[in-house]
Amino acid sequence: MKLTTLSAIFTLFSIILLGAETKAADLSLSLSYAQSRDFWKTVQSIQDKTGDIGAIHQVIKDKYGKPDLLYSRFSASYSFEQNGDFPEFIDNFFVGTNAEALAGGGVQNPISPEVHAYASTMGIGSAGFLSISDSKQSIFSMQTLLGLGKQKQLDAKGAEFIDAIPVRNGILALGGVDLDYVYRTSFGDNFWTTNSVGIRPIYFFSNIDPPLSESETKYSYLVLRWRLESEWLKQFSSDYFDWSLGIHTIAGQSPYPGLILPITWDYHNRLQLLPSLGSVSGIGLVAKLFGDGSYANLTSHAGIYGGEIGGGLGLHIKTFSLNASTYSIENYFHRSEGKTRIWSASIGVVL
Amino acid sequence: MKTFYFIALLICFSSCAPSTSEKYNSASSEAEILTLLNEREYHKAIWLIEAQYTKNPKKTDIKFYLAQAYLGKAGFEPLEFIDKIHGDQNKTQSNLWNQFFKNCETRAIFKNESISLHCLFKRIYFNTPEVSSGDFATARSLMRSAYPNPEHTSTWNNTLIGMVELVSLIKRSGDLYMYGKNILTTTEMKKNALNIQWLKAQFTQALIETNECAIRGSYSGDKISKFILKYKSESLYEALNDRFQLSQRLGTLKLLSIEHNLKNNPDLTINQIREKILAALDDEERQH
Repeated sequence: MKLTTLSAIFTLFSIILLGAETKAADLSLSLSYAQSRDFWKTVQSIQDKTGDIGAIHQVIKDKYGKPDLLYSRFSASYSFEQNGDFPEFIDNFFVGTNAEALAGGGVQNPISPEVHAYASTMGIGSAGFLSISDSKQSIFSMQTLLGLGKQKQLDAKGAEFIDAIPVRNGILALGGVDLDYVYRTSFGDNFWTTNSVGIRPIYFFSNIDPPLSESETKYSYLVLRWRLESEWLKQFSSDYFDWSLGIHTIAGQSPYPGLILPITWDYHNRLQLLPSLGSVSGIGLVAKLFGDGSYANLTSHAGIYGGEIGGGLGLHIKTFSLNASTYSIENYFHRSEGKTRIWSASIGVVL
Repeated sequence: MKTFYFIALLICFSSCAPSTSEKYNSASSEAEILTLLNEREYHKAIWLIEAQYTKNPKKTDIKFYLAQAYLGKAGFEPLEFIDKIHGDQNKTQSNLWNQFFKNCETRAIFKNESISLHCLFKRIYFNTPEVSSGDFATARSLMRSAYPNPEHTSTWNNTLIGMVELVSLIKRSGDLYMYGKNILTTTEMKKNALNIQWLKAQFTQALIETNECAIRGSYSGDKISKFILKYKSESLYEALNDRFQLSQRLGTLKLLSIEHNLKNNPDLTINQIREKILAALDDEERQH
């Protein structure tokens, strides 16, 4: 059974369980893709040269400490107002499904060479609710996540380069919750701030075998993602359009505005709570151009995110949105750190 | 709301902090040490790891990383080294190439192509940095003391230590042949051209390296042989498990017999020792 099918079942199951009548519905779909380089091509080259240490050296000599990353992600979510059978503080329910594929890896240490590569595909089902304050200034959301997928892993160290390096396969599953709180306030008519805080603890379970050289390595563990975000915007008006300018600050692992890394990225990178102060903070300038009404038609941002320059552009036309961005992503896997510049694009629609 | 503004202000300041160990690396964690090694910043790595090692002298892994940084500084990266010894020797060899084992070809060796051990060792000799002193010697000494017991050492660490010992032995033997011919290739050799104690110490070191190499070889299976030759050479594999065979195959047995001779005849002069070295080399040339 395909994993995406399993995700759809999760979603359907959630809808049946909730059993609420819909009053107003929102269906949103999005597809995103990002990559630096495909590390599994490097893995293939190493495999092709099994036993020839000199040839393997030629493949990896310039790749030490430069990890690669590639992912694609499809998500769909459906939200609806509650019918009054549930506590008052719940305004909306939502269910979602998410299919993601992720691959990456890297080589490290030219004296005691190691290669590590990972790949996974997963379907994730989610269900949760929104609570909107009476003043419409704050929103609290909570969702539970369940996922199932497959993973493969390749690890070799030193002498293991001599023989064919085995690719290990296993099942990867996850379960966790995602809590978010957003608060918006204005100062006068044309200056406002939006602040948010989020936390996402997820336990990953894997049945994959550890590599020969690191038999003690655990592949099932808990990761905790957290995020604090603040945006200050001043709005200006002209005869033709409105526009706003401001700054935003982000704290948390992977502090990249608008970029949603796959959930399994946290797993493969064994996400740390506080890797280093600079790598969990970001600050940048934001500019928004408004067309008719208050809907932002064009947004842009640029700044220092996770200690490196990054930025993005977003275009919204009616119900469609297009986004493109580039960031230098910090990877953490197999005791090493390394940055990867990725280029990402996403397309979304709200029906 | 004040808390939010305070946090936001904190983020503004923290954005100026270093994001990774690439900046302000102090080698205080394994990740930071690996970053320095990945960037081949060996001088900096030694300086910083030594500071960590002083604080934690009992930490074996830090000591082994320090040894690796010294190997890197000496210009010895295992994969690159193997690539060089199998490559075209016209690129790397010096004008001393024909001083011994003249029949050895200089062209690149193909995968699984057999090569005589004499010629392989000649290639190793001409691609190895100085081993009797300096960074390579420091690395070797740190590796031995980090993992003194091969039984409790991982296969790869035994393989790496065994390779370092093998390469040291081959380089030292080659230097002794050169010394016998009165060709002084290193600063160390020039400085000790007439120092009989230094010369005797070279034989003693060669004996220690033979022992270390044989014992590491016996704990790393066929890895050293496969790593160096690209295939399991029975002659090298068997030799690596027995110090007598190893000395015989490497041609160092005769050199080691000189070491034994020196103990029984402490009055031998430098010229007499040189004659014995040349006789040992002649024997090897004949077998080759």
